[in-house]
Amino acid sequence: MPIDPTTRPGDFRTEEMILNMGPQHPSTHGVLRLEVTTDGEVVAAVRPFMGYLHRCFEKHSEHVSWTGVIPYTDRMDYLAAMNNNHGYVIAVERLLGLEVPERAEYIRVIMAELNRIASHLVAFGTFGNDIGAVTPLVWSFRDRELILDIFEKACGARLTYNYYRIGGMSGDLTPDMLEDVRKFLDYFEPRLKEYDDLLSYNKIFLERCAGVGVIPLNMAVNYGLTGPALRGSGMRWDLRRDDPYSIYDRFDFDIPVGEGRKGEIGDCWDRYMVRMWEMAESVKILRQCLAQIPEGEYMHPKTPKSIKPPKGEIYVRVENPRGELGYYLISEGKTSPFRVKVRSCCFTNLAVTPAISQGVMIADLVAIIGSLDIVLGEIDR
Amino acid sequence: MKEWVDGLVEGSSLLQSLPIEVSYFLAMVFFSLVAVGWMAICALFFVWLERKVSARIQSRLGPVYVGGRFGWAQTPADALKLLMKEDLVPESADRLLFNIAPAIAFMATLLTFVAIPIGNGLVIADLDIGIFFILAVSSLGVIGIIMGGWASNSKWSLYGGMRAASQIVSYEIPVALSLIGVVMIAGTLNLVEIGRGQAGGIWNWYLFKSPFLFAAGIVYFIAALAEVNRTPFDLPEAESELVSGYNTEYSGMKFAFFFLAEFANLFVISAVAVVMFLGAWNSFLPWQILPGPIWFLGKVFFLVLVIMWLRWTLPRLRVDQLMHTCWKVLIPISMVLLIGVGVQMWLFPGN
Amino acid sequence: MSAVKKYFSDIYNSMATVLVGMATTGRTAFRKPVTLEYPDVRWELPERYRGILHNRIEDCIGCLACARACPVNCIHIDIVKRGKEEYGVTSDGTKITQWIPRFDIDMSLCMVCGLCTEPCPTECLTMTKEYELAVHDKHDMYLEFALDRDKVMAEKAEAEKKAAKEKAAREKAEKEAAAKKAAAEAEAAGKEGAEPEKPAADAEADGKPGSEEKKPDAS
Repeated sequence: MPIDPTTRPGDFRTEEMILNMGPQHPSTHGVLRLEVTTDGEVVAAVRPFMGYLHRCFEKHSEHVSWTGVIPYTDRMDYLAAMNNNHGYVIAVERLLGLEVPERAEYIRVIMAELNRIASHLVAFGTFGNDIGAVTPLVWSFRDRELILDIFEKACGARLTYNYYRIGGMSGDLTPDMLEDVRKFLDYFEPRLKEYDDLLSYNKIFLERCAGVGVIPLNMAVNYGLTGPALRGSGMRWDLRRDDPYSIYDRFDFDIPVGEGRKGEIGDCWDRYMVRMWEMAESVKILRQCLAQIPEGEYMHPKTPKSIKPPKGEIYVRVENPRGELGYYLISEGKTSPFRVKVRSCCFTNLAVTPAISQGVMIADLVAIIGSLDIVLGEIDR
Repeated sequence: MKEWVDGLVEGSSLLQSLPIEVSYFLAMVFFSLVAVGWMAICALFFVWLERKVSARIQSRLGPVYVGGRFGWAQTPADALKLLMKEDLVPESADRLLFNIAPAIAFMATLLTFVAIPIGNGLVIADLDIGIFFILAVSSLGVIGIIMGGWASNSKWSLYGGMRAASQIVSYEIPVALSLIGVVMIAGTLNLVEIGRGQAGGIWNWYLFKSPFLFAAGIVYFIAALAEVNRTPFDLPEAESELVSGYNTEYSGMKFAFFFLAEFANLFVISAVAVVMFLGAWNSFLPWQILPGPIWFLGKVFFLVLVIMWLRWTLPRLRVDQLMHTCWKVLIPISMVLLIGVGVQMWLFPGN
Repeated sequence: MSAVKKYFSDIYNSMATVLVGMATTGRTAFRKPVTLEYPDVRWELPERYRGILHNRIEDCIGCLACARACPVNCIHIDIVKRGKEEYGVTSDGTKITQWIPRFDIDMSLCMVCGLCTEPCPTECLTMTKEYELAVHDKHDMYLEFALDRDKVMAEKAEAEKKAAKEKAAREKAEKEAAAKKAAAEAEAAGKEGAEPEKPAADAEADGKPGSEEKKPDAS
C-alpha cells in the first residue's frame, strides 16, 4: 500500500470507519441493521435500518376476516403473542359493543401476565447474552419452557398462540391447567433470586450496565418511549393502571420504576431491573387471578358467527411487555377491516438509539440495543 | 531429555550405526510428535469437558450420542468434520498472512508443551529457564491472532485482532510479576526444580508459603485467563459484539488450529499455575501416594474445571474496563505483592 | 479517602459477586437436567396440540367453511353437485350432497393457526399431533385428501372423451368438404399444367387424414 505523503510522524490522519452491524449479527435481536460510524472502539453515530422482516401485516389484514387477523397479530411481537391478541380482540369487541364473560377476562389476564413473564425472561436472557454471559439465556429459556407448556395445553401452540377470540377464548382453562400455573409460580419465585445472584448484582454486569445508555426522563417522553424503557427512566406509567383495560383495575400490584440505584436513572441497568421487578409483580397478579377466577362461560354466547362490526373507528392501547401497543381499526361494516394500523412500541423505542449512543463503545451499543429489548417482528410488521 | 537420547543411542546397535545427528533428528521428530499428540488430546478432552460442564450448569445433557456413552467421540467427530471442510479464504484477504496466522498461534502453544513437566523429571526439554521460556513463547501466540485479524480483511476480525493485541500485551505484565515472587522464593527458573522445591506436604506449596504468594496466585490466575482470552476476558472473540472476532473469516482446518490452540492454552496456564503454586506433581501429604503425573493432571483438571465454571457464570468486561483491571488493579497489586515477598524473604531468611 | 475506599470495595465486590454467581451455577450443576434426548425420548403432547392438519374426508360435506376461515388461503376445495340418489351420510348423520374431487391443504403455506378447524360442522378437519413438518420434497407438504377425485375425474374424462369424439367427427366432415373443394380446384389448375404438386405438399403438412384424402388425386 503506498504511504500517504501527507502523513508525518506525530500528525496522524485518522478516519472514521463505517461498520455495518447486521442484519446478520448475533446481538441485533433479529434482522436489524445498524450503520455504525466508529472511531476505533468508540461509536460516533448510529443509524438503524429496518424493514428486513416486513411482511405487510397491515395490508394483509384488509383482506382477511376480523377473526383471521388474530393469527397475524401473533406474528408481530412473537415473544408476547398473547398480549398482541389481547389488544386486537379488545379493539374489535369495543367496535362490536360486545361484553366478554367474567371467566374469559380472567383467563385473558392470566395468559397475558404469563406471557409477560415469558417475554421478560427472554429479555433477561438475551440481555445477559449480549453482555457476554450465556448461562442466563439458557436458564431463562429453561424456565420459559414451563410457561410455554401451559400455553401448549391451553391453546395447542408454543409460540404463535392464537388463543384469544373475539368475544372470549378459543378454549377453557381446565382446573389442571390452573394447577399448572400455580405450580409454575411456586417454582418461579425462587428462580428470580437466582437470576439476581447470577447476573443482576454481578459486579462485572453492573460495570457494563450501570450508567450506560442513560435516557433522561424528558428525552424518554419526547421520544415517546413506553414500557420498561420509559419506566426505567423513572416515570410511573403503566396502562394497566393508568388506562385500565380488561379487568386490571381489580388487582393490586406495584409499578416498578428505575431509581438509579447503581448508576444514573434511566441507564441500561434500570431498564433491565424494571423487567426483573415486573416479573415479580406479574406473579402477584397471577396469584390474585388464581384466587378470584370465577366459573362460567369462556366465550360470549351471543358472539355473531360472521363478525361485521358497524361502521366506525377505534383506537385501543394495551400494555405489552415492551410498551404501549396500539391498534387503530376502521370498520366499513364488512367482513374484513378497512384499515388496521398498529402503534408499535418497539419501533418508537428503537428510535431513541441514535440519540443515546453517541460516544459509547461498541460493546455499550450492544448493551443499549439489548436493554431496549426490541423485537424486529413488531418493528417491521 | 538429552541424557535419555544418549542412553538410548548407547543401548541400541541400530541407532549406533547411524550418525549421531540422525538419531538426534529422529528424537526431535519423535518428541515433537509426542507434544502434538499430547496437545491434541488435551484440547479434544477439554472441548468435551467444556460441553459437559456448560451443559450441567445450564440444566442440559450435553453430548450423549456420539461414541455411545457420554458422547465421548463428539469432539473427535467435530475435529474430523473441521478437517474435511472446504478451506475458504476470503477473496480480499491477504492470502499469505491469512494462511500462516493459525500456524503461528498453534506453534506458540505447542512450544510451551515442550517445557512443562508433568512429573518429577518427566519433561521433554528440561530447560533451566523453563518459566521464562513459557512466558516468552506463549506471548508469540498473539502475533498469530493479530495476523489473522488483519489478514482476514474484515472489520470485525480487525477489531478482534486489535483488542487481542492490547489485551494480551498488557496482561503479560501481571502474569510475569506474579510469577516472579515464586521464582524469588524458589531461587530458580527451572520448572522441575521449582516442582521439587514443593515436595513434602501442602504447607510446602508456594501458594501457602506466604500470604503474598497466595494473593499472587490469584492475580496470576486472573491475568492468565485474560492472556488466553477466556471469559470474562474473551474480548477478542466476543461473539455478541464482534460476531466471532479474529476468527470470523476462518473455517475448516485453519479454524481448527485456532480452536485447538485456544483449548490447549487452558492446559498451559493451568499447568503453569500447578507447577508454580500448587505443588506440581507432589501430593498434599508429606509422602507421595500416587504417581506424580496423576497428581499433576488431577490438579490441572481441577483448575480447568474452575476456569470453565467461571466462563459459564460471568459476563464479559468492556475494553476500557479490561485495561482498567490490568493497569490500575492487577499490576499495582502484583507489584506490591512482589515487594511483600521480598520483604518477607529479608525478614525471614531461610524460610 | 473515599476513592481509596471505593477502589478496595470494588475489588472486594467483584470477588464476592463472582463467588456468589459461581455458587449459583454450581448448585444448578447438580440439579437434574431438564432436556430430553429428543429423538429417543419424546414429551407427551397435550390434548389441544396443533400439529399438521388432517381431514377425515369420508365425513367432509364440502361446505367450504374451512377454506373461508383460512387467513392464508392454503385450503383448496372443489365441489361437484351430487345427484339426489347419490347422497351420502357422514358418521354423525349429516347429509353429503356433493362430490369433493379436490380437498388439498398446502402445509407449506399453512400457519397452523387452527381457525379452519373451528367452523367445521362435522368436525372432520382436525389438527393432528404430528409436529415434525420437515420433508425432503416440497411437494410432500401438499396434502391431498380427496377420495371422490377418481370418480369425478372418470366422469369428467368420459364427458371429455365424448366431447372430443364429437369434435373429431365434426372436424373430419369439415376437412372432407375442404378437400373436395381443393381437389376441384386442383383439377382446374391441372388442365393448365402449371403446378400439380403444390396442393399435395400442403395437404401433407396439414396432417394425415388430409393427405390420405389427397393421395388418389395426386397420383
